[in-house]
Amino acid sequence: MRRVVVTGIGAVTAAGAGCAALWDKVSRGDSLIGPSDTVPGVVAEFSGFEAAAFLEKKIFSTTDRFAQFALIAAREALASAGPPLSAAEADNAAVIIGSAYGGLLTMEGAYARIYADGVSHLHPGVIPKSMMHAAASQISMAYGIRGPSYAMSSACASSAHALGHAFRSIRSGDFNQALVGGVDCAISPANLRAWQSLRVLAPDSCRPFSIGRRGLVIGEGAGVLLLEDFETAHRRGAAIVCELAGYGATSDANNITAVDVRGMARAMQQAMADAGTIPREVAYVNAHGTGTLMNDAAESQAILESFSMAPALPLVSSSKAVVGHTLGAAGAIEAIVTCMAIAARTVPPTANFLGDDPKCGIDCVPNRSLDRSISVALSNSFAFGGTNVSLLFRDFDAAGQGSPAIA
Amino acid sequence: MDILSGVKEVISEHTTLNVEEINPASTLDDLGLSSIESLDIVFAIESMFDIHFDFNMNESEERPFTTVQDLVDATEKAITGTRA
Repeated sequence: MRRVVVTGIGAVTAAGAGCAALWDKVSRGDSLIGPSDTVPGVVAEFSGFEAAAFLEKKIFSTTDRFAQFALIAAREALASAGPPLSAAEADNAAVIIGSAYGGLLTMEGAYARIYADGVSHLHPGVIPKSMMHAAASQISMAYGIRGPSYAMSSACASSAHALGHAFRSIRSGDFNQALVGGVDCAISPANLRAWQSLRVLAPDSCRPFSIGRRGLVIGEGAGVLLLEDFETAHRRGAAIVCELAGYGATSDANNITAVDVRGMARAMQQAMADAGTIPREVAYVNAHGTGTLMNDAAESQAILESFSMAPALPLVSSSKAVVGHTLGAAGAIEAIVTCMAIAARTVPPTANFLGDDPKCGIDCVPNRSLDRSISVALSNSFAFGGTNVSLLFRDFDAAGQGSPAIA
Repeated sequence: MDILSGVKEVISEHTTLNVEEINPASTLDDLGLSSIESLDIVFAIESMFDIHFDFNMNESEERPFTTVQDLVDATEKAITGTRA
């Protein structure tokens, strides 16, 4: 079976544009949550984002904020991945971008024009800007990528599903390279009201696994990774960040909003089995860790169950305390954090932590990072609908380029 | 309409139960309501009485409203708060 490696990463978050800014904040546990410029309550937003600072007018005037974020992240991912793709490579590469909302802000603006302002005509850009796969299409157009391009949508697991799907497709030879990730820019008054009605938003901050946690905080962002099969990456001289080696995806088949320990645990166990990894090899889990009472207790329990046979539990942390819950982008942004943790030999902390919750019982690396070599790590993403994803990343050097276990 | 009758009516509309089968002491669990279904009922009560229940699902591991009477009490309190 072919091996799949990460060769490029790009991110746009409340930390601003760039993986370096993201890692600086996440690794120091420097939370970006605060009052919003545009909606009531606290969020993690890219305050003062000006598309013109990053994109040509022709592009930013014809795209929604979500496609703009994705374009900026894709540019960084490609730039960090060594030489540009050749024309032949681009002809076969894929673009798969997860999103829960697509161009929500554009669509809401159009609805407001019709229902509130009473106008009868709309700008012709509403549909091309807001369609769910507009981000994938814009990336395809910007870089002449002519293989398959589409969106995947499963709320907060969207980009984790996109990564898992692209990983399997590359491994099985459907294509050699893919720009994969996710994006959501959904901080609008109406969407925040909708989330508030579920009574799950924290009024203060996001405190995963901590006592006194009061819910999740909505963020915005994009994460894009360049995935390649190892032979292609090696041939073109791309630097390898790490290996994506396993994918687990399950459904609870139970309740549209509830969490399910079994479904979460099965996803992690499948990811490990898919990679031919045993639990004792996993040093770190980048948790879904939303900061709700239910998620964090259930995810902790799922980790305890999945690693019950290991001599020690993996370290666990959630990046959402820093960048908020970026919804459809969360899986990709947290996959990037996981890759950077492996590369930097550093376990990022769980920020905003006040004290241990006995219902959790995991080591969530409170508030301060740990220097630790990580050979294998999981990144979890769970979503409404009872859909669960776990991705397994592995240090490429440590795994060995010709390991018979995965040949 | 008195508050208890209104709450019973809302629950009846959202379930297969008749109002006679719903008592103040009935728990939302007894009535077969999941967490998200309970929120649906909360919203309907808020709309019926033009009130807002200020609560967060993360304040406690218990449901914010255990029984029908809890919903009635919260409604009374919210209406009083609105008038004050």
